[in-house]
Order: sequence, then structure tokens, then C-alpha cells
Amino acid sequence: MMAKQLAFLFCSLLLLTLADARAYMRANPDDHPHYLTVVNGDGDGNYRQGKVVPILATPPTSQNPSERPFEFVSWIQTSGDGHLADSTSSNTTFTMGYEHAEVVAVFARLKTWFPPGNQSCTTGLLLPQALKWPSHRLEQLVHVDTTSGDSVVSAEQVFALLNVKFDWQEQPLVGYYSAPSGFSKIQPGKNLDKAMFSKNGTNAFEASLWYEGFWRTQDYSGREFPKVTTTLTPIFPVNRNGTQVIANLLPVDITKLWSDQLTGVTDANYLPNKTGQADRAYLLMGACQSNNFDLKGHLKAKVNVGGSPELRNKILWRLAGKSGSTYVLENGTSTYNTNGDEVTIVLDNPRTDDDNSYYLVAGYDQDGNGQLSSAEASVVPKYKWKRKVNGQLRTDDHDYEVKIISRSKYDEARQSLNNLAGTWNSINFRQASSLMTAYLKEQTPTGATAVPVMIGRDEPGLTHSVGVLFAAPGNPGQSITATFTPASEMTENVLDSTTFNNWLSNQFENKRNEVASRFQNSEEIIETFTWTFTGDLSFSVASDPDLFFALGRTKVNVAVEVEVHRFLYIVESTRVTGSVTDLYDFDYDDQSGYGGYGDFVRKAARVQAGYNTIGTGGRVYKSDVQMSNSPHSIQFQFQ
Amino acid sequence: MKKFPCVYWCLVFLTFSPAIKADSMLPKEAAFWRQAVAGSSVVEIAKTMRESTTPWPQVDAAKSAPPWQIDLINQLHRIIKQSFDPNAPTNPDEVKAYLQIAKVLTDVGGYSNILLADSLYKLVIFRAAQDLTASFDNRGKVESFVRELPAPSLGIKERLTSFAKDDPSLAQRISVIDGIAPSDNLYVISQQLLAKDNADPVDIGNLTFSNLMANPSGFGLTFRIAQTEMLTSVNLKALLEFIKQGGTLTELDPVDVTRFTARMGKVKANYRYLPLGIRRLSVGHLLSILDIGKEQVTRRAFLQTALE
Repeated sequence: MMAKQLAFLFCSLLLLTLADARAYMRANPDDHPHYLTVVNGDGDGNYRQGKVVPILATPPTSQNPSERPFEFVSWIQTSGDGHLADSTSSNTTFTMGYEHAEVVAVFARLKTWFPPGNQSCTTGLLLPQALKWPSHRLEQLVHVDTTSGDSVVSAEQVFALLNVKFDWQEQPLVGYYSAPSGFSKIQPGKNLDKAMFSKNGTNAFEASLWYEGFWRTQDYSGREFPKVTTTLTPIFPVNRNGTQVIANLLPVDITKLWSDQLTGVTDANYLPNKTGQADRAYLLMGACQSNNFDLKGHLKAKVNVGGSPELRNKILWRLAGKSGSTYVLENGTSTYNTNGDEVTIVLDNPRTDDDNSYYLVAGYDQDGNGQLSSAEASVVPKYKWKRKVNGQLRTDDHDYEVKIISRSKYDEARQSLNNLAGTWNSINFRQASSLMTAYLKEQTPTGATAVPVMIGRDEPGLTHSVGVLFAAPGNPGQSITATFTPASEMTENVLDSTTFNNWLSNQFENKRNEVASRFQNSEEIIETFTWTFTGDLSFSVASDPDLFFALGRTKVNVAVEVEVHRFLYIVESTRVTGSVTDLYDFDYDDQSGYGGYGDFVRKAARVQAGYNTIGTGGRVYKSDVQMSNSPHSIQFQFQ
Repeated sequence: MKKFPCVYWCLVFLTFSPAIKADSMLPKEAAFWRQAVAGSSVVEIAKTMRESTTPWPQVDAAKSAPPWQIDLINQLHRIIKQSFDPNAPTNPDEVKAYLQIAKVLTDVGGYSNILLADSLYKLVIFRAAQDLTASFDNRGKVESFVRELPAPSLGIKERLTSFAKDDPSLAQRISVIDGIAPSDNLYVISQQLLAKDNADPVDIGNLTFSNLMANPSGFGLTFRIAQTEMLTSVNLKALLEFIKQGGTLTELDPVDVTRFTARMGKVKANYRYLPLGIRRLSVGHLLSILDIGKEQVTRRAFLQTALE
């Protein structure tokens, strides 16, 4: 017992002595030099305590010249005593302490990551990358996530960005899983996806992916798919003794992109899949009041993680044109909202030579000049374009594409259509001229009276979600129904048209048996029938060009009173009550059936896209051609 | 050079010989018509064209006509354009001159001549519209020169065939033209012509004189002539008849056509122009003439076709 007590006393004294010695040494610098190790930088050497040593971070040399250079992120003191003057400056000083010390310069770079196999993968920002990492003090980079209990690398230091999508699953990526130890789901962070990497060899790590949606399917039986294993180069410090490190990954991705043409209207014209009833795979929009083109996007993850200004300043969004398969960046700006979950993308000076398609791109502003160069733009977000093809649901990856109409293109189109309306008027296309003129000037067509009406984004026939003054956030906007009374010229023209006549004849075809049956059971000379017909009616350009240009494809809902003579069951007279209705709207992509008449449909679609930020022209409105016991001349025999 | 006067004069000759040669190669009619047109008024030109023993040349499209003929047509068009004042009241001499020049051009024939003639007929229609817009009392005056406007003569098929030599794209579609049925209107034919080889569409909003001169289009000119014929045979004549029957401006109401129908209902079917699918009269036909006379956009578009 005595020996144990003596041993304890001895050890205590020894520890006290050592502690005192340390304290003494801190307070009293000695003359013995200590070695400073500078990883990924210059400044190594023996220095005495208190020596202010200049240290300079030097980026690791890439073996592949085509890869982007590394960018300095921060200094980290990984061992020993001493003091870093400015951890965020690549060229700073380190004040030596009482013992050997080690500092590490952390670097990062943009990296395009293509996993093996056929999976498509977009680009992300993988940080930091350094080839020489110390063997200890990793805990300085890692803290414990109190929510999940996992160890995670702090976002401020790592801010790794990754955006990965796979064709073979529709579900978004939610995390990574370390393959060797079997399946163990990692919960995604609030704003960050996580990755777990397993060491595989000296400089390579494996990451496995799984999808939340698949994970939840009932038939999942623990099989090792859909797991994808890919090899990554080391991207951040790892514990050599351990096999796993978890890093936060911030997806550079967007979940929704909408036209900010009408301020505050976020839910009327947006991708994915809400661009209008025609469901085009692009946004059609006009210039804003400022003649800029403002888009807004909801980000998949917030970019204010940890409040880092680095992310806000350097992760930029732009629109780019396309030359072949190459994206050509346009000037513009991107700004984040306070929450960091929304970005406003402005295209400053759109080209005016043509209606161009622009594509959303993002990247890391490596040189910090506030602009995104082609070399820096590395992320082209994509969305799933879902549509039915031959009754089958089809899903394709698609760029966020925007077709924008500049003020000059709008004005040019409007002027041209104005001239066309004049030409139409002079060659008897009176209705076409009248409706077009009303469209261009936000007026009521000649011969019609205006009835207020609300038009919503889901209005049948509204090919693009433009031309309507939607109320924020995506509510219907007010327009008019141009109502043509039964006594109007328009109604007379419709009733006189060959197209309407043929349509009615086709309806009568289905009534032959009914007519025959009636006469077989009657001795009347004249029998009167009343039928209701509804359906689509497209005016023919060949037989009714004026109405073709004025109304085009319409909906018919009529009650027809028909007097039929017993002799050959010939139609004696016809009276029609009801209406032919149309939405005056132009499909930017619809060039069919208009051949020979110029590209007026596209021009009109341009004008529609500019309503009402560029001008008042281009308002979508309804037409209602009314008939009330209106006589109609048709030659038809039911026998 | 003074020592060698022969060399000097030889050089002078060689310098100017191409011009002398080129001028000497022009036919006599070229010099005559150049001189007759240059510096003359429309009325004087009409008189010369009517009375001269030197016939006005047949001028085809630019590709097949000699350059001097195309220059002549363009020069004549320029004189007409410069002398035409849309805001001036109708000058009977001017209208008469238009009709006379147009008749000579039409009789001689050729793509460019017919195109210019059509421009002149459009100017006559404009003056008629202008007068009737000013007052229905001008009916008698207008009738006197509307009577001189030509009635539709050629069918679409014949017209297109006649322009095939001026328009290579049309020449390649002779088989389509041969297949045109009598009931086919120009819209149907347009689709048939375009369907072959994905031909470029004809912009009916841009059938101006200069555009059709620079880019000869047999279909475009046929369409343009059809518009003129329709305006003459349907719109103008119906308006004159409407006025003659005591019709008033208030009856021409697109909101309520009952009064118009009551007055013109029985003769509506008499006004038809099938090449453009017009089967019966509508109140709009009459209104379009009045719009040509007064409505700014329509008026500008109409005159642009003739003068630009």
C-alpha cells in the first residue's frame, strides 16, 4: 500500500513539475529553436519562440494541366504552439510558440466529377483538395453534428458543392453511404446533403449513393443497388487512422426557375413543367420594365450556410447562349435573398438579332472578379421534363432554358403585325384585322363588346403563361371576352363559313337513323329536330382564311333546330343557338398550317411575351361568337 | 504626249470605246423611252405611251429582262411615287393617266410591266376609296373611273403558268400548277405549292412593288393581282351599288348587320370572287374600302404595297 502511495505521490509531483515547466516555458522564452512545419506552403524552418515567421501558401501542383488551379481557403494550425496572424490570408505570419508547430494551407478547386458508368453527372465544387495532410488534429476541421450525432466537416471550412443526378432514378440525391459496412442511411442536413467516404487505397476513396425514394419502396430487400460506387481523389483532410470522414455537400442546384417579369408572380410561368398549357420545355418571357430580363430561382440548398460571405460572393449564376454544345456566357448579375434560398438572375443586355435561347449556368468565381468566365462556369442545372408521349409518361433531363423577347424584338414584331392588320383589312380579312388590332392595342375588337373575365395559368389554349396580367403569386389575371352578338358581322361570317357548314354536316351524319325513325312513325311533312352539338372546330385556311386568322381553333357549343322535309329528308331550315369560343393566344412554336402567310404567329407570340412590361400590346383575351336562333343555310339530306 | 498625238487619241478612244459600244448596242426603243420618261410628268408619259409609234417593251422579271428595261420600270415607278400625294384631292387627269399607263403595260405584258400596272390600279382604287370616304355623293365621279378598271381576266392557273419563266421556284412546280382544280382558291394553291420541297412561304404582308421586283415571285404577284381584282369586282362595286340603293354609313355597322342585310341581302350572292374564296358579300367588304380611304394603318399598308 505504501509503495502504491509513494508511486502516486511521485507521479503527481512529476506531473506538477512538468506542468510547471510548461508554464515556465510559456512565460519565459528559451533560446532553443523549434521547428515549424508548413504544409502546402513556404516558411518551414527552426525558429526561436516569439519569432514572427512569414508563411506563404503555395497551391498543390495539379498533375493534369487542364484542371483548374487550386484556390486558397484558409490556414489551419494542426499542432504545436504559436499564433496565426490571419488564417484567411495566404500570405501571413506565424508567431512561434514554445514548441514545434505545424500549419496547413487548405486549398480548394472546382472539379468536374464524372462517375463511371452511364450515369450523367453534373459538376460540383469539391473542396478542399490538398495532397499532404497531417496525420492528426483532424478534429479541428470536424465538429459533431448535435442533431444526428455524426461528425461533420463544418461548412465554413469545406463548403463542398456537389450536384449529382442520375438518369436511372427520378429521386433527388439525398446522401452518400459508406459502402463497405453495409447500408446505413445518413439523414440529409437541413440545407446540406452529406457524403460519407470510405478510404480505398492510398489516395482514393469510395462513395456510394442511394436515393431516398428507392429506400422507401416496399420491395427493397437490402440488395446492394441502386448503389453506385465511384472513385474520388482525396478532397479533404482525412484521418489516416480512420477510414471514414463525413463531409457536408452543398448542391449547386435549383428546384424552380420562374420569370420575374411580373413582379411577385412566382407561380405562373416557371420551370419545371409549368410553362403553359402547351408544356414547352422552356420559359417564354419578355423584358421587364427596365429592359433587363429577371429570373428567379429557388435553390436546392441555401447558400448562406454558416453565414459565409464566400458562398454569396463567389457562387454566381448566369444565363448562357449555346454555340453548338458550348455554353457562351452573357453578362449579368446574380444576387441572393436574405435567407439564401432564392437567387435573382438578371441578364443585362440580351442580343437583339434573334430570339435566343438562354440556359441557366452556375459556377465558382475563381478569380474573384465578380464575373463568371466560361472556365469558371461549371454547373448546368437540369430538371426532369415530364410529359406524355403516345400515352406514356416520358421523363428527360433538360437544361433550364429561357427564350426571351427583347424590347426591340417586341417593337419590331408589333409594328410588323400592325402593318399586317392593315393589309388584312385591305384584302377583306376584316375579322382577322380587327382581332389582331385589338390584341396589339389592348382594345376591344371592332364589332364586339367587352365583358370582363379572369384568365388563369391553366386556361385551356393558353400555350405559354404570358399575355395575362397574373396577380401575385400566380392568380388569374383580368382580361376581356370580346362578345360578338348574334346580329354581328362576325356571327354572320361564322354561320356563312364553309368550315362551320362542314362541321355541322358531320354532326348531322350521326342523326340519319333518328330522322328516318321519326318519319317512319309519323305522317308529318315537316319534322323538327333539336340537337345539341359540342366539339372542336378549326377554321380552314383554304375556305375561310379570314376566320382562320381571326379565330383559328375554336370550341363550339350549339343547339341546332332543324326542320326536315319528308321528301328525301332534305333540310328545310336550320337555326342555331349557342356560341363559338376561342382564346386569342399565340404559340411561339406553332408554325404548322400557317405556311405562306409569313411568320406572323411567332411575331404575335413575341408581342404576347412582352405584355405588359414592354408594352400594352399582347394581351390574351377570349372571343365569344354568339348565336341566337340564328338562321343557317345548309344543304343536307338525311336519306 | 504632244509628240505623239496619234497615241493620245488612241488612248482617248480606247478609254471611252466601251461606253460607246454599250450604248450603241441598246435598241432604239431604249433611248426613246428613257428620254420620254425622264423629266416627264405622269400625264405626259401616259400621252406618249398612248400615242407613240415606238411600242413600250415587254418587261419580264429582272433575271430575264435586259437591265435597261428594269431601269426603265423602276424609273417610271419612281416618277409615279414622287408625284403621288395621298393627301391631295383626286385629280381626274392623274387617275386617267394611271389607267392609261396601266392598260399599256398590261397589254404589252411581262412580269415587271404587270406588277407596275397593278400598282397603278391600286392607286386608282385608293383615289376611289378616298372620294367615297369623303362623301357618298362622289359616287358618280368614282363610277366613271372604276368602270375603267379591268375585270378579272385570267384564271389562277393561267396566271401562274405565265409567270413560271420569271420565277424559277414556280417553274419547278409546273406539275403542281397543272394539277390546280378550278375550285381551288389561292390559299389552297399556296399550301400545295409550299408543300413541295418545303418552299419558303410568301409573306402576304410584304408584297410591295420593290420587294416583288427584287425577288420575283409568280405566286406573290398572282396573289397581289387577285387582291386588286377582288377590291374592284366585289368591294368597290358593291359599295357603289349600296350607295346607289340609298345606303347610309350608319347601316355599315359590324355590330349589327341587320339593316345592311335588309338592304343588300338579295344581291349578296352576286358579289363573289372565288380565287380568294369570297362567295358572298359582307358588310366588311364595304367597310374595308372606307378604311383604305381613312383608317391610317390600313391606308398606309395599302399604299405601301403600291408605292414602296
